[in-house]
Amino acid sequence: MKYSMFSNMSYVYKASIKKYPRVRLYLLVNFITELLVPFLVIVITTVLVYTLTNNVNVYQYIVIMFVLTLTTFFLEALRSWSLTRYTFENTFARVAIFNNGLSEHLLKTDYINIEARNRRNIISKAYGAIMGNYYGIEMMLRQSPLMLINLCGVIVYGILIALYVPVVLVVMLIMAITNYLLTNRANKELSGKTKQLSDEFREKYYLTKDSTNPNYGKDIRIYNVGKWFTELGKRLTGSRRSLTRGIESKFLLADIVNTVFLFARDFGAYFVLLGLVVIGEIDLTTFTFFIGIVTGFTLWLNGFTSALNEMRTCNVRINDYRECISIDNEYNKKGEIHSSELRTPLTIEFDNVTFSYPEAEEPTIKNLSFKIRANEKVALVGNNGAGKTTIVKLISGLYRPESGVIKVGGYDIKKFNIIDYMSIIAAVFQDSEPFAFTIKGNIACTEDENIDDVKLKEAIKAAGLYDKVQSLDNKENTYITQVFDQSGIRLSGGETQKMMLARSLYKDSPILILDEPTAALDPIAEEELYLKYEELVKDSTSLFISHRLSSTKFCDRILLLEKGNIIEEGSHDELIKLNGEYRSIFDIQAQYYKEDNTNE
Amino acid sequence: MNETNLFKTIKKTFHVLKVVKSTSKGYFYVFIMEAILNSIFPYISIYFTYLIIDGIVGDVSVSSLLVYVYWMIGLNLTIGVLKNILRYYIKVFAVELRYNLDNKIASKSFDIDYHILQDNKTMKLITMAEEGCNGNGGLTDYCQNVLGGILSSVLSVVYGGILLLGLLNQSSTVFTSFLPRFLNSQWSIIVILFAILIPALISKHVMKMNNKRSYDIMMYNIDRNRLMGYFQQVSFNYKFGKDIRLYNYQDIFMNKMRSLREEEDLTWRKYSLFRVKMLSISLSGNKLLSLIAYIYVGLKAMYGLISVGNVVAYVAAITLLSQAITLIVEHYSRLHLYNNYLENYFTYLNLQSTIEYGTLDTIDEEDLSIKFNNVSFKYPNTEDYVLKNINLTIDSGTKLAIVGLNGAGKTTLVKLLCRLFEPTDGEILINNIPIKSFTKEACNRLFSIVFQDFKLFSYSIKDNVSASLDGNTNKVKECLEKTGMMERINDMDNNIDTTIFQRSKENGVEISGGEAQKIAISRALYKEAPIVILDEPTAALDPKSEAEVYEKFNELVKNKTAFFISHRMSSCKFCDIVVVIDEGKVIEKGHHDILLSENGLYSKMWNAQSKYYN
Repeated sequence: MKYSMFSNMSYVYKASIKKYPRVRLYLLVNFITELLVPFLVIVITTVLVYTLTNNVNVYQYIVIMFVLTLTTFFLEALRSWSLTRYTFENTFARVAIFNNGLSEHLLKTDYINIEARNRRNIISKAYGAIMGNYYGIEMMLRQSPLMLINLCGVIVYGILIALYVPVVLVVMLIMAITNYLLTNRANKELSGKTKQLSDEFREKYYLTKDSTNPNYGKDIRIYNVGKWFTELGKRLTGSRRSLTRGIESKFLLADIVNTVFLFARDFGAYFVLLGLVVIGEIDLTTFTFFIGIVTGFTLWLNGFTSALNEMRTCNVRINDYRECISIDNEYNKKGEIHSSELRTPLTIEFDNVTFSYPEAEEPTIKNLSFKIRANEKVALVGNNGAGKTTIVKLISGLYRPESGVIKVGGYDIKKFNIIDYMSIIAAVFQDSEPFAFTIKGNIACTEDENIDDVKLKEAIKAAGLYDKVQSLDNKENTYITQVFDQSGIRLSGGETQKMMLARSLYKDSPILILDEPTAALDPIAEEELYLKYEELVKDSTSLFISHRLSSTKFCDRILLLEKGNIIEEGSHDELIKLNGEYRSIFDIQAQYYKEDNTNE
Repeated sequence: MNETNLFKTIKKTFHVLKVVKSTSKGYFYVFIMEAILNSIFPYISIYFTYLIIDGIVGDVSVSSLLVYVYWMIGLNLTIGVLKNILRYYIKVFAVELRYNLDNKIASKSFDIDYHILQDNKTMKLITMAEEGCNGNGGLTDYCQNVLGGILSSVLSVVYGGILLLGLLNQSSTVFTSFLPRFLNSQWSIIVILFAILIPALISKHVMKMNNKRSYDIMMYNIDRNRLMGYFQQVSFNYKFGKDIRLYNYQDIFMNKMRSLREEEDLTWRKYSLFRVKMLSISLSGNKLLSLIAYIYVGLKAMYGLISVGNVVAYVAAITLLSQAITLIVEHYSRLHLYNNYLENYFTYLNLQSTIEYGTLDTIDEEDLSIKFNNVSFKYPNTEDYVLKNINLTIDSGTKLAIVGLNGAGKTTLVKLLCRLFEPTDGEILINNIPIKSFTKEACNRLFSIVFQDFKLFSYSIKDNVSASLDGNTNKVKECLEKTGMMERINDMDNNIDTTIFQRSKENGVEISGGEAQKIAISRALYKEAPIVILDEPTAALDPKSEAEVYEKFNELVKNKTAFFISHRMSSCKFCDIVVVIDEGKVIEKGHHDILLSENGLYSKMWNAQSKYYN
């Protein structure tokens, strides 16, 4: 997807003017003053020379100078007013519209778009358009008016020069073309290296971050990682230096050629103008004026080519941004059926479901069919990589099946609006991390004023976190981490798991999924959860995933997964009797506990 | 600018310069040369324009006029090309400067005591220095613009001053009226001297107001960036993506971001108005000076005291001079501000480790005993002891299991042993020699540890296992084989050279928690240290892999001393001794069979888990 520079300009301006209409005024004032101020500077010098060579009287001179200086003052003040205000509004636009726009996209787009590797690359590239004041979108907002202003300057001054010193105009135009070509060549070299540069930049960035990150400090010390990283740092420095040399030498050539052209320009201008002065064609005043115009013309011209070059770089980044933001999404699709029409408890049914990750050669799950009855407690077990978490993500609506149908409460889940659908699922994931909000914010997932305090307390108690919360100075209003509050705390792995459990209980959804909810809990806390489990899920259809097979005992049915297929299913006792894979896994784990009984 | 402040600032500046010079010599010299050239450049045109104009007015021959032109553009060409070349070198050396500084900071972070590194205050130093610099263009901006700016402004004042000396020349003409007589007298130059000071004084005043505001807004910005950065990072991180979607966090997030932004818009808009006001005040001073210069110099010319060329040159020189003085004033206060940010770097680089090390470099690894002698520990500035009066003797080759409830202090015990923290009271002995007597290297050689929150890095598996760039391929494979990870790696495109995670390079593979754990254990094996400590090493493993680790445990650690911390009580079975820690104290100690019969916390924990398997 490639948009033209014009299309991108109108894209960024439309959005920014819509939110910040006042920039139109700043743009207009800036346009006028940017053109007038440099011209006035030339005028002042010219008037100075004129008055001194033409017997103007002292008082007139003082008045003229006073008026001119005052005018310049106002124009310059207006110029800096409009420029400053405009530049600030550009930053506002970049952050408020485009940064937040990308964040909103990332928050709402289909989960696979932020998880799959190839799509993450698209996101990384899109960040290039909003990463700072001098990149992508904000840079285009900065450079567009400059391009226009400089172009006007080039035209007006060009006409003036054409009248008296056409040779200079020719030199300057050749210079502009050469400059553009050489800079272009250098930019091409630069863009050819962009990937290498950004890869290395990223590597360097993380190397620096990791090196100073206290969370990595333990491993760094124990394994003498410092030596390894120091060597990496040296390599990156060397490689960056030679890359910079390669690119900058191209720019150096462009710069030197430019300087030589300036030499030719001055030579031509002075030669022609001095000649005109000598033959009496022009006087000193005109001479001074034109020397000013020639210098000014070069500034406009250089301004124009550099703005044009910048705009081309911005264009690439903005294309990346628009590509990312316009990826096809489920989230805003209208549902054919609403969750409120469902009769709880719900059934879950997989009918011939196949799913593969983007770019993966083989599907993770192939033609999988199973049914979970309403209000049933199901345990999902299997080795690492058997596909348990994939099934959870499919049920949650985070992934969409490639083929086959997933039905919940008898309806194909495709028929729901995705946000509405997710309201019926509560899940605790293995790798869930808390947000930097308050404990109650983390559990209730809503604004403080909408929190049901009774329900909150129940959820905290049920999850076994009540004592911990009570021990904190600010109780459930304590912030997690210090991002938003200096008195924020960190929870241990076990406490975090309990808080995540509390969150899923607070949501009170008809489907509850717990993925390894006890991995970080000590034996006592683990058992407490097991004992409470029945009570916790009494109104829901639930799925429990754990490597601790002890947990399967209180589930109605066990599904044993291997390579995306269900190879055994039934209750714990049934599967033990079956004497198959489940039994062998159970025995492996049980041996360490059982052997002991015989010893006793 | 009072004396002591000026003196302090100069001292700090030299300190910074010293670091710049030691970090990149090339950069140091190049930026100074550039500043010198920058100061000369404008005066060439001023001087020759003056000669040319006077030449035209005085009807000098075309050929001599052209000589001036040749000189002027010739010098401009030379200096122009020199400037181009210097610019090139500045860019190249700037890379060196930035990278080398980062490398220095990294080295310091590797070297400094862990307890200092993980102190919030230490992190703040780095963040302040980084954010202070990034918000203002960094160290290169400091050198090129601020220091370079001051240097070239000072030089500019000198050239301008020399050029303006011409104003002191008195004409021998005798004037009767006051104005020309005053203009002709040497005293009249005082007018210009005062006029030049106007913009400088105004700038100083403006800067004073501005600095306070700038500092406030910078702190505000750092704060805001942290908050916005948090939301951006969370929305980008797919680990949060699942919960955000399922718990419908999207709109809460967007609302928070929008309201943060709206508030920020208001603050920045106010600041932008302030900036405009300050700029306009500075501008008024400059324009006042220009007006005085135009009138003073112009009138002098009208009375024939100086030539037209002189006028153009003097007006330009006065303008440059006043700009230079204004710049000095402005840069001086930026210098002050910058020095304060950069000082954080230097404070960081000068942090001193406090952990004592001795001179003994050899430890008898064959017969290695560990003794905790009445060891207690609490974090600095806290009341409660995490560990209290721990007495433990661990003989060579012992397999020790440490169990306890969440937060009992198990991991802290390990951190004390490997000297990430120092005991508050008591001491730890290795082979009955205080651990303090050994060198840092000797201490570091002792331990292979897999922490509960272990970290792998986004490089190849081989580099991760060997923790170096030149790992032994066979040994790496052997270690991965032992943890059962090789099977999975053989399926990967680049075998052990496959990069893990997607951070530094795009082609990294994502690995599961269980796989990461296996790689981390392999890394511990590769190190071949005499003491192996595994903290919750099987938490993310499936039963089969867990059993594999258990079964191979004895083979993995052979006759080494080993610690095993786990919530899976089954692991206590194959350890020689179990230590139960509760609320910072050792409450039970002994073999599994004995502890089980004692009906204490251990048997309670054991039964909680084992009953499900019977």
